[in-house]
Amino acid sequence: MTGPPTEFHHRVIAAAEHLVELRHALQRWVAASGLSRHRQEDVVLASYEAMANSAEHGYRDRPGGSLDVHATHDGAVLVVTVVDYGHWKPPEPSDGLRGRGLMLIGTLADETSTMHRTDGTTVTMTWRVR
Amino acid sequence: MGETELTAGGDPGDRVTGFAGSVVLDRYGAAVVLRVSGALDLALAPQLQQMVDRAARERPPLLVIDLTGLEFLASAGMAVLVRAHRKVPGPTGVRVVAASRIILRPLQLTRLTDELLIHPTVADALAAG
Repeated sequence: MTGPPTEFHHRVIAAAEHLVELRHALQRWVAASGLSRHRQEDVVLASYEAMANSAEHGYRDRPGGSLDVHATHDGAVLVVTVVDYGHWKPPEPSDGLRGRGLMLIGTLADETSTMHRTDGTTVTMTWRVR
Repeated sequence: MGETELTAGGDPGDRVTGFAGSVVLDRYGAAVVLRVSGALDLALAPQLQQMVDRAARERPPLLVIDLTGLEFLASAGMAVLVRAHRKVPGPTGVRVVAASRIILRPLQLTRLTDELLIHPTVADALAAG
């Protein structure tokens, strides 16, 4: 054994049925990270919420777009980046579903940032490894 | 659950299976219990919504959404729980059963533990009426 893998990259079609496999793959990768089980659950849920947001909102005008999930782990921090190539719209105040997804991302990760690029959106979530 | 009798539903519509989870409709006396297992994610949430709608049409006194067999809960699924709690018309009371940390934590973080009526077991939810 040379230690846990430190990089993860998967590209899938941003649709609900494809996110299942991606979530499982990320879960397996995170399980080897050395994070506590509870923090692993936090990473998987926050990452899933970011992917679900892309699937639901990033490609609402153009279904079938792709989604890239990158993750790195260097012993000090674990970073997950979810990249889509669609167009997020600002959440409606009444959109409770999306509001809760973003709330979860914000509370589960130690740090988050959302970058709206001209060709899509990048969500970066960081966890300090304790 | 003591003296309450489980009526096994023979109707094929009493079960839906998704990509990573399933919903089964059971009856305990007049109460309807939806047992959700696996992952209540973006894929299963619309199917749970259909089962909630189907159960609500029967106007049972109690609709229990049992998350005991769940291993993953995403906001898409939480939205169905909230919608059931807010929109299923009276006289049906809606109760949620959850006990594990992985399911309770997202409900706590989004403060839904304050809004939803959550019980640790199905027996407890049924007894609460």
